[in-house]
Amino acid sequence: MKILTKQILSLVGAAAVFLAFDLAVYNTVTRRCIDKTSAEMQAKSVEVSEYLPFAEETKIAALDASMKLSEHPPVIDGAAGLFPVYSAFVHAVYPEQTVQYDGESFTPDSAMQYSNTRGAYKALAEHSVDLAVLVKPSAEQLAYAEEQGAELEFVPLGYDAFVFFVNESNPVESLTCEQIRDIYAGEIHRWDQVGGKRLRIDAKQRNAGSGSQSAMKAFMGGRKMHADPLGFTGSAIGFSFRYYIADLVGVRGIKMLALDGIPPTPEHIADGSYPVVSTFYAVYDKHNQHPDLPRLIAWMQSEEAQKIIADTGFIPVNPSQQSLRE
Amino acid sequence: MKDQTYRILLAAVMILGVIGTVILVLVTIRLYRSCSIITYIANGR
Repeated sequence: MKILTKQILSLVGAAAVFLAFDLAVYNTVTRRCIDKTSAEMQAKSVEVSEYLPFAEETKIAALDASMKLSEHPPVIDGAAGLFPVYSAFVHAVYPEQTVQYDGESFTPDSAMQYSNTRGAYKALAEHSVDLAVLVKPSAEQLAYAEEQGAELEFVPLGYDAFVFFVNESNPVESLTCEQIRDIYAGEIHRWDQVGGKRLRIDAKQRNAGSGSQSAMKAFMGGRKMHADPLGFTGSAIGFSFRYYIADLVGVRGIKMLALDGIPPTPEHIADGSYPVVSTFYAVYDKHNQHPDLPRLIAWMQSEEAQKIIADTGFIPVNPSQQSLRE
Repeated sequence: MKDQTYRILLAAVMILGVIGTVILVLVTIRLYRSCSIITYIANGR
């Protein structure tokens, strides 16, 4: 009887050890990575099919412009977070037959493309697109463009808040810009150092060359970022653009942090009190000879295009305030 | 319980446990690689 009890206990014990380990892995990492957004969002970072320029049920800020481009307009591309903006531009000034979407992606001969930031900078450098709506590139993207003989020109169109976000259960509501730089530099590594719980800080970063990663590098002002290898056991902080996480992704369970006590509301972005904003641009190669390009660039700075930017949810660029925001 | 039965049961628990853990780790690595920061933080703490 005593031996039987020992045998049963050792079997149950062995099973319990595996179960405890698997549950710990599931709760610490696996559960956090289960994405409930649509397959299209997971694959493309934006619901392209919901923001197509000429679809009947499109969500873009549709406006019919006072000018139309020729039958062979410049090929336009852009970032995921700016897709609704340049899709609305296409709706406004491109002839409908110049845009072809096969249900999954734009066809190679379509005048509208979507390659996201990294792909669009590569396409601009390789001259496979004429124009892209993007935030500033990384040093590597700029160097690659130069290598390919492209001299990129940046025309400011609008701007958005660069935001930091945490899980909604995190008690921290606001951080200073310096605290965030210290967190990403690895000098602050626990939430209780900034008024939160006694947990490690998991300072998450994006892929190199993505728009928000380039913006984050600029925000760090030359300081190197260090990831805590044990950060995954704690609570994470991430960064993105306000419009992208507030309007495009629609994920529940996160909250944007105030910076220096100022929350990233459209009012605080517009009045300049929110401290970190990021400008987005129409980017093209200075040597591009497409005959419609100057007209299109000029129109993108017009009242019509600026209204599209505002109606989409961004702040249109204001030349009188621009120098404060660069 | 006979010693042989006990050994067979223990081996079965170990094999199933290792297989289950390996599958979980592989699935986790695959999910982690494709997981967006927003999802990761929304599902976290």
